[in-house]
Amino acid sequence: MKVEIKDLCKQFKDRRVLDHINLQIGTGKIYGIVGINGSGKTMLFRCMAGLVRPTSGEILYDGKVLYQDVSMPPNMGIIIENMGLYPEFTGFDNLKYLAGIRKQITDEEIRAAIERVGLDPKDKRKIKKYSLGMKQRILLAQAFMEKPDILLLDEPTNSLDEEGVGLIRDILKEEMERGALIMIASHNKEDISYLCDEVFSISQGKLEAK
Amino acid sequence: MVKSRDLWKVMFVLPVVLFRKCNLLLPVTGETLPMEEVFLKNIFMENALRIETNITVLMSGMLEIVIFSLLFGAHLYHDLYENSVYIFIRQKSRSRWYAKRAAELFLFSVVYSLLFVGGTFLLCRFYTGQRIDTETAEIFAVTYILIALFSFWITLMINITAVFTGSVTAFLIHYIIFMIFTALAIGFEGIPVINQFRILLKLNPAANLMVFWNDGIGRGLMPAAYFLVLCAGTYAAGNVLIKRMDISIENKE
Repeated sequence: MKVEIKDLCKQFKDRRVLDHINLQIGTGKIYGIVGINGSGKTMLFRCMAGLVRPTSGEILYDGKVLYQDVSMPPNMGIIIENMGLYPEFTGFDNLKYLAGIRKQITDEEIRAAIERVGLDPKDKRKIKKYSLGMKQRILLAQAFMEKPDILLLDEPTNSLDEEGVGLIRDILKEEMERGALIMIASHNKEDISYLCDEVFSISQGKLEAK
Repeated sequence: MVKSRDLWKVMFVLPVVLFRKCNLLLPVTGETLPMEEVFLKNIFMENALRIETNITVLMSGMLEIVIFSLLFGAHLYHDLYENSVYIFIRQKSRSRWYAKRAAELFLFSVVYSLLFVGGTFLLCRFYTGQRIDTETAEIFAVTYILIALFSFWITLMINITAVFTGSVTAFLIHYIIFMIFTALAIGFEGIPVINQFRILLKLNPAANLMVFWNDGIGRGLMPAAYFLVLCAGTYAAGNVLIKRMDISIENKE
């Protein structure tokens, strides 16, 4: 999988959130974007995921232009900061509901994804009763349960302890070896340098290689 | 994806119909009215143009439709603000998601209206004890089709407007506009411009919904065709909006 971003801009009225972003990434590495809150990391992910239309520029997936050749990006897993799951459902029910959209995986595979992040798939508690760390883990399971080709993880280490960050690192390595293209955004430089092979920095919507 | 709570919401109309219509039917059983008259009186309390009535009575007669809009006014909008990122990255296209959700809403309005209109019809049959003749059956069928289409149309509009305003404000906007249309439909004889240009009355959705049996509107098929056009237009406008909008929107609820 190869992702190419050409001269991408996103503007809201007179505020430019993404400013002529150019980027070429492919499988085999874990990429990181580091930047302070409001620098444009999440907006870049939202544009890449086909959730927000860019004002100008193009995003290409294996040479296919988003919104021209394809209406949505290919098989993608994502975590967006501050975007939770249904609080009234259990972790398993949340993932089952989402898995029901693509209908690619079985209940057994959903349970395996939940176990992989160190949670119990038989836990009957609703998400609203989960701790912040547990919520983050179930979001991670949601992102990779369908073995996506691209993983976009916005602040994946939020609310996780040292053991949790180590677990993410192991999972990301396995996903990378499976052939997924992985991109992580964080304001935490330490986490990014610990988890990623290549790092970019973003500031006021402008992306630079570090 | 239809959830069990959606089915419960559809069933909610049954106790409402039983309670409201039983209370309304009892006073008219003493009169020797034809069954279709009793039925029409009980669908919208009173026949708007034949009997003098006021807008408050008429709107309260629409309670079942209003309840449908309240129950399903966020049916599509719900996906757009809760869990939207995780739902939409799994879609093959936004249009397909919109088509599925709109089809669900249509199905709910069809079943809900059948329970509402059919339940009222059966109660009328039970209370009057009269035979169902062709004219009565025709009035039932037309009323059912119009109410199902209208419920779908106004609730789809509420869902689409909710993208900009939140579902509560969208609900209020559309029902206030509908009240204005209703007032114009009731008082059209006193409004010279409507009397001069009868097309204005035929374009009024409230008039098409409540007085479809009136000669000025056209009997049954024309209002049904008009509502079909309104539904198709609203669906198409919603499709354009959904394709172009930014999905990870702020929750306006």
